[in-house]
Amino acid sequence: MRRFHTWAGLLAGPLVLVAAGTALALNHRDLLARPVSERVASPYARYLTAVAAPAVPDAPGLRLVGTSDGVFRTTDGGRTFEEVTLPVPAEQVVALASAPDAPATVYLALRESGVWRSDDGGWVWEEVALPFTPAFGGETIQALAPGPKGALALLTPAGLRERAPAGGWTLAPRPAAPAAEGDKALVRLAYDLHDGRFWGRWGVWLTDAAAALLLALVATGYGMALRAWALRRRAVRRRAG
Amino acid sequence: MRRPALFLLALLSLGPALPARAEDEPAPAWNRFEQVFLTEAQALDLALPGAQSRVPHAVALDDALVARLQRALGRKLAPSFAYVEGRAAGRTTGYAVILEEKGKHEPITFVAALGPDLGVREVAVMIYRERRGEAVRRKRFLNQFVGKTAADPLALNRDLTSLTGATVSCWSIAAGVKRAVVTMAALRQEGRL
Repeated sequence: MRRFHTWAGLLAGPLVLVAAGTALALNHRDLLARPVSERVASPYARYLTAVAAPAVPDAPGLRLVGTSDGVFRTTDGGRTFEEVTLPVPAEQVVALASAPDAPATVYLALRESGVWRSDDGGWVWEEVALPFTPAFGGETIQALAPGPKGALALLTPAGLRERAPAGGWTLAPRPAAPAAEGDKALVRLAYDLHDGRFWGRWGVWLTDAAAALLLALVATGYGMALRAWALRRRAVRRRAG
Repeated sequence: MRRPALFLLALLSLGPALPARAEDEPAPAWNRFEQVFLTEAQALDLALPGAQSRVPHAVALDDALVARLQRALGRKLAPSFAYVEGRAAGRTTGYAVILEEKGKHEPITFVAALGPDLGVREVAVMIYRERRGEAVRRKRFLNQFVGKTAADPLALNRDLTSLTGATVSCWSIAAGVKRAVVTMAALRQEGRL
């Protein structure tokens, strides 16, 4: 039993190290942020989520690429990229789309930081006023589609929100949840339990503490196993000598 | 052996008693929580130490300058800009720019103090209006701005590092300080400072 425990611990150790280490790293992503000298100015180092091709006369090859943590611009067909600067963290880009009747106008939807609009192909941005506060009450932006004359459609967990060309927003509420959505809720619950957010803001710190404890347990476990192994080896040598 | 196990059990049982998750909190009203850390007078005292007089300036920016600044900052700007000049013995001792930038949900009011060379001397939060993210006031974050000029990127993940739990507020402060520094530099370049 003891031997099984030792081997199970030794085999499970690396997995626990990875799970606890990545949980800590994900909860404190900013600590992983590197200065720009090391930050790769390429969208391909991230999860690609969206692309737009606004038509600007003085930049015919202009393309905007949205990723998990930034928006990038290329004017040479994707050979080189530069990061687009926004006054908010451009995290979780869910959509980048040109307006059908104004090809230089491009909309950018960020899951939790709202919708941004640029009329010059992505150099100068301004925030679009929304009828809700993104990320509050769980209403995040999941998809965006611009229409003609400033019309805009947004898909959020609350339903389909649409802005008419004349202004003014309407909401078509989401129909009652079909049974399959229960599975998604379970997955979400699993994620929330994993990173501690299920218990609120202090839960994250509790998870950090638990992860640090697990790391310490693995480290001390390996230490004890090594010590036992060394003692056994010494005893065998002594017996042989 | 029994004691650590009891401690862990107590820790786990705390879970349901902890505050509800952020997504379940009611509307932005819950989040509104105005805290005044510095009044305007205190902010100017801090930003312009040793100034015998303070001269307020309100500058109208022409279309060409606004377009140039917008391109440099990557965002739309109002065609006006205000700052306070500190003077002592007939010389400029520095400039104070009181700024307001939207944080996660509510605006943050803060002051950027620039030296006569237009390098950042100090940044301080004056009014913070949200319950979360107040950590942005920490010197650990704000001291990163000291010495920065319009030639610096002044951007998070480049020459600045944000704080856990106050990421959006950090971006807002960085965007505001950059706006102040770049605008002041452009005004000097045009001989209007």
